[in-house]
Amino acid sequence: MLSPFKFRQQESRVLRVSEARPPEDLIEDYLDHICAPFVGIVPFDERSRFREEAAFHIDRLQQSYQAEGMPAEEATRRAIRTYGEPGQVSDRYLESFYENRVQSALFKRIGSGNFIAFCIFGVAQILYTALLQVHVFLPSGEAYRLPVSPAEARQLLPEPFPIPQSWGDFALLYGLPIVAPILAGFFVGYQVPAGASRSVFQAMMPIVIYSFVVGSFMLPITTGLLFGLFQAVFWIPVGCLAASVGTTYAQRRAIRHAKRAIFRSEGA
Amino acid sequence: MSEERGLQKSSATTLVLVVLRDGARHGYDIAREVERRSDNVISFNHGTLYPVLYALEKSNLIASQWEHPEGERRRRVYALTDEGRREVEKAIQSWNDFSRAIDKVIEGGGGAQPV
Repeated sequence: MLSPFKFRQQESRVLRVSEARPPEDLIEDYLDHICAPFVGIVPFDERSRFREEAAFHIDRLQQSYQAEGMPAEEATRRAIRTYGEPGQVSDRYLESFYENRVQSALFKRIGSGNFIAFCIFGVAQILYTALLQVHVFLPSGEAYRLPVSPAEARQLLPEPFPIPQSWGDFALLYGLPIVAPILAGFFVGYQVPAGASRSVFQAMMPIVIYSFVVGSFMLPITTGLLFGLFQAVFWIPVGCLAASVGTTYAQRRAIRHAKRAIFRSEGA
Repeated sequence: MSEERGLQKSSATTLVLVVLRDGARHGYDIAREVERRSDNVISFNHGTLYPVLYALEKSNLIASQWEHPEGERRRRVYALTDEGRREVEKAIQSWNDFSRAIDKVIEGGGGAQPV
């Protein structure tokens, strides 16, 4: 839960920082952790404003704790804890940053991350549902023939290009649902820099329910229900994990780009 | 967005607007004032206050400017706009209605007996 308000009893997670460092270093290190995910996403002016306000706020907190009689280092650590766990603070900021840039009412209502995740996983769902329907309702193998035969394809693409000998029911029916959440999750993570896993989870819920409903209509053929079950136990966790990886990758890529831009401008 | 999350977000917004009703303040002051007025019952990660402030500013309910007192760090001070003043009155009214409704439910009110 990233909402700002919570009860005092719920102490925020302790920032893991190495021991025996000057208070100013602790604060700078903490601010670096908060602001690192913003690089390449949030314009410099906005993130430097956020950083400056945070530095002032933590400074004030530290002073107030010191006025209560705490030693400087303890007061700094306490101030940092009160300000919040860096991941949570930066996630909340990024979410708000995106929400404030989105104009559509629908986007604002359901959240842009949820909307993107729902669209991407929805496309994967539609593709696979269509494939299942074809598989179930057309004679076996009929739907998976190549538009041209392997011999005809060989005339178009001579050696050494590999030509598949068949569509491969196995690859489609088993490969697609295995690969889909990995690709879709990564793509969502790449697009949504904060809370991507949560977005995937929330988007997958109605999709899984839809799968079970469609699966029930297909009874007594149980393939649809099995797919729904597979989505619940595989798509959700793998999609969430892939989304986290995608976010991390996107952030690192953004930082690399920003660094290159800085070096280029210094070189010029 | 879950209902709980939406409710908490709107509570945060209301609390910030109400605190700013009495005059311009910077972020630290707003956070401390919310804690003080609630006898420290309502507390929060202070860092998550700023996205709320930025969203309110984006909606033109508050405005901000830098202040740089001699010998001190620069700080951003927030104040209600006219639109914000109207909004805070509406928010307080709606919160009071909600609170009265909850009180009535808790008190019972001698309605129909359970079957």
